Amino acid sequence: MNELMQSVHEKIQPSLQCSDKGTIERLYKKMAKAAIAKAASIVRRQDVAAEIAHDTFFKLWQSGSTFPNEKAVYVWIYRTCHRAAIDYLRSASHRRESFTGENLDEMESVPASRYGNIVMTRQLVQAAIQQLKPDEVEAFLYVALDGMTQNEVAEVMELSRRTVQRLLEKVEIKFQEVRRRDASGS
Amino acid sequence: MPQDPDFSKHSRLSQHLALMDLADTPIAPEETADEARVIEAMVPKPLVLPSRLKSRPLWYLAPLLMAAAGVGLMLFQKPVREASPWTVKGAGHVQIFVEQDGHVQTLEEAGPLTPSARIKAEVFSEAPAVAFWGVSSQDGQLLQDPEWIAQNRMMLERPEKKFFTGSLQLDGPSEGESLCIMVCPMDMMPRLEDPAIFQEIVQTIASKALPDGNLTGCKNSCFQLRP
Repeated sequence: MNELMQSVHEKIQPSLQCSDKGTIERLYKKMAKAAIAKAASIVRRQDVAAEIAHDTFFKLWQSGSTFPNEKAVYVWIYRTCHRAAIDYLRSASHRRESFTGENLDEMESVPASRYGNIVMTRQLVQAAIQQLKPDEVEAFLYVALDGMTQNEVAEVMELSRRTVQRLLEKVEIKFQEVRRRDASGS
Repeated sequence: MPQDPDFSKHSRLSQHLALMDLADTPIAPEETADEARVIEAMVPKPLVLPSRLKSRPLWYLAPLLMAAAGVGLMLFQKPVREASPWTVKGAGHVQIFVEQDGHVQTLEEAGPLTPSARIKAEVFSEAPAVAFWGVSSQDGQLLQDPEWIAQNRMMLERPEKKFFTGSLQLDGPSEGESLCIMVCPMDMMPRLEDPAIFQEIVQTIASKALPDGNLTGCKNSCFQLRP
């Protein structure tokens, strides 16, 4: 590639270097609130969500990754917050904590989805964490809480759509099994 | 890393992208109004990034030194009958960060801690593990409720590096506090649920002792916070 072409290429595809403090500070200013909202949709506590979002930007800076654009950065932040929030609740579940604390009532509603009518949000998240493997929980909550399509989940998790479909089929089977057990127990 | 995914208009992520003017196709404001209200209500913490550690030539020797130490141990140590996975992997280290006066530094860099200093701890584990943290005084008194230690433990589900959620703050006069972080292999988790064994964890953290007995296989790292 000659110099002119290279220069054109760089103009077309600018990159974001996340090892740069100024870049991270600018991104934090722009994206922190959305990242907190994402984490809070799972952990239901704004203080914990703010901590998760802060740690996510810290990790981003530590990783020093380069992204093609801000959209790709936010997708990374979104996924990292999603997983950190699940990890937090898994720890909470290990210590048998209930989901108490600062409730965010405005985020109670579950987007319309095939899972939306099974159980309410908190029970849904708790059930998912207790019954499913980490990648299954991640994929399932993208669909059930965030209203993503399988194609979107595949993009975010960097998997094929077929793999996502298989993960969600396993989730369905596990929840059917839970319902069967509950029905036979009652 | 996703390069440039095309998201539907209805997912939370699509709405976030649209609200930050990052979506390829804009979404009508009425469709994102609810999420916009939620986002607007969020209050971020001030972002604090530590100064990067300067690289020193000695770091490049670390793998060689580690390998030499490993060979030395293999040659001169008595064979262990039942080594725990944690010991075999020789894994894990912890790093303490201090946030004070608007700067984040490692504990070693930070110097004397001010009363407003916030302390965060990061654990790196090469195997699934559970980590506990607690602060004890110079005379071996635990400064938190044991329940706090149980509630603030952290699961490391896979080889990963993770911060404990939240931070610690020291107030009042110095009691010669030490922060101890105990990391145990995840497969010990069922035993650690036993109240008697959990009591041993609390005692070990309070006394800054080496884990033994039921806790063999765990590691307890203690850091002096204030003299």
